[in-house]
Amino acid sequence: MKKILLSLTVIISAFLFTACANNTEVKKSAEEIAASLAMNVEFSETMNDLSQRVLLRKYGLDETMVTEAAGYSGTKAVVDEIAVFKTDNLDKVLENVDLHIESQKTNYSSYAPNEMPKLEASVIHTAGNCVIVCVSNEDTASVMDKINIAVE
Amino acid sequence: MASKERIKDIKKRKLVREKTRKHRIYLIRRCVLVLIAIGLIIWAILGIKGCINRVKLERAREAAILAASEALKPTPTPAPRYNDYGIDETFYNNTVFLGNSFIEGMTVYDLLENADYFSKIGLTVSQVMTEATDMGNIPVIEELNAGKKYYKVFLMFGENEVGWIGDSFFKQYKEVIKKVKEYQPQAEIYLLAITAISKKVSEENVDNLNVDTVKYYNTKIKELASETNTIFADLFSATAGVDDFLPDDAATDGIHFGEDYYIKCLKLIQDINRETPKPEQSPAPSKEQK
Repeated sequence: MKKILLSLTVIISAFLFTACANNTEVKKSAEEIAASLAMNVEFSETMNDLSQRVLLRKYGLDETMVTEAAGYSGTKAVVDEIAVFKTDNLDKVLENVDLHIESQKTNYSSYAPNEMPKLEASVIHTAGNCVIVCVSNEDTASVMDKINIAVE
Repeated sequence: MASKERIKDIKKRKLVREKTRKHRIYLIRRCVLVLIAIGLIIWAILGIKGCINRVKLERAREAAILAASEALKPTPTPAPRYNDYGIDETFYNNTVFLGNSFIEGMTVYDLLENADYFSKIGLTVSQVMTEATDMGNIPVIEELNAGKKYYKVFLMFGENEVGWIGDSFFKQYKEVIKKVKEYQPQAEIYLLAITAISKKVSEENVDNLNVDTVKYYNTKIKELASETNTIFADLFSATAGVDDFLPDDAATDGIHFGEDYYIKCLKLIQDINRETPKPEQSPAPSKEQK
């Protein structure tokens, strides 16, 4: 009896651990996530695929700070953009993402004030080791749904 | 008798004291004169040394500038190397673009392999001296003084300044050009014309941005290029349709166009290089004529 109870405890514990384990790795690539958002989220313009070096320069990052990076952007007429970073240095990437969004708000507040609502509704989301940025025509909740689908 | 001798003695001592006093004064005067003479000689030597050092420093500075220019001179006829967009990578090798949202927009398309970009949305010819790029720490103009030497510097200003009063834009642009020459004396400098805007934007005429003002400013920028021995690049003609407006489908806001128009602009600039004799470069004692 005791042996049966012990075995059951071990099996149940094993299930609990695997179910509750904190999944630190997003399995999909940054490119896949960014492409999914580019296709499914509503933007004001056709989005341009950004090269990694352009994307890193835009956010003041370099190759040592990220393991993967992918993104899209419109022209300078709009603030629409997507950026996906996989990183072991979440804090640094998040800091630079915040700086970038704040710069955009400062620049466009006088340059193109009609773009400000998009920046106010911008989404910065972390999933495991992944930072996802999305500035679009859609509201936060709607973008979050699409991010969750993209990341799954 | 004794008193006579005493008087004599006293007189004699007085005389000796007098002589001694006069001799002392004479010696003191001589010492002072010698000291003054030594001081003058030292001062003269230091002055001559200072002059020699100044001349040496000046010569060393000129030699350094000349060495930097010589080191960066491209080969007399570098062979063009066209990328997939038909842009000559040799022409744009080791170049830098400085300016407003036109330059910011260009960075999105990564059209050039080896060019740097220092730009900011809304940047003007006065802000370039004081404000940094979004991720930078120093004024944009100071990015040209950070150690890297470029073959060419491309400047794009004007669109954000069409509402300025009088000649203030052109005067300040001249100061910017002066600074560029100071920091990059070996570089060819190109002044890029304001690009075409759509008919709608022209009719809206926000902050005096209309086709006539754009054309007027471009005429003045061309004059400025001639005056400052820099090269004018007529990007207006590269981007305007037959009616002098940017086509409606080129830009969602009638101003900021996409990749294909940037390719047109870059091709126009590289073709200027081939058609136009280049002006004399910035001061350097024995530069070759191109």
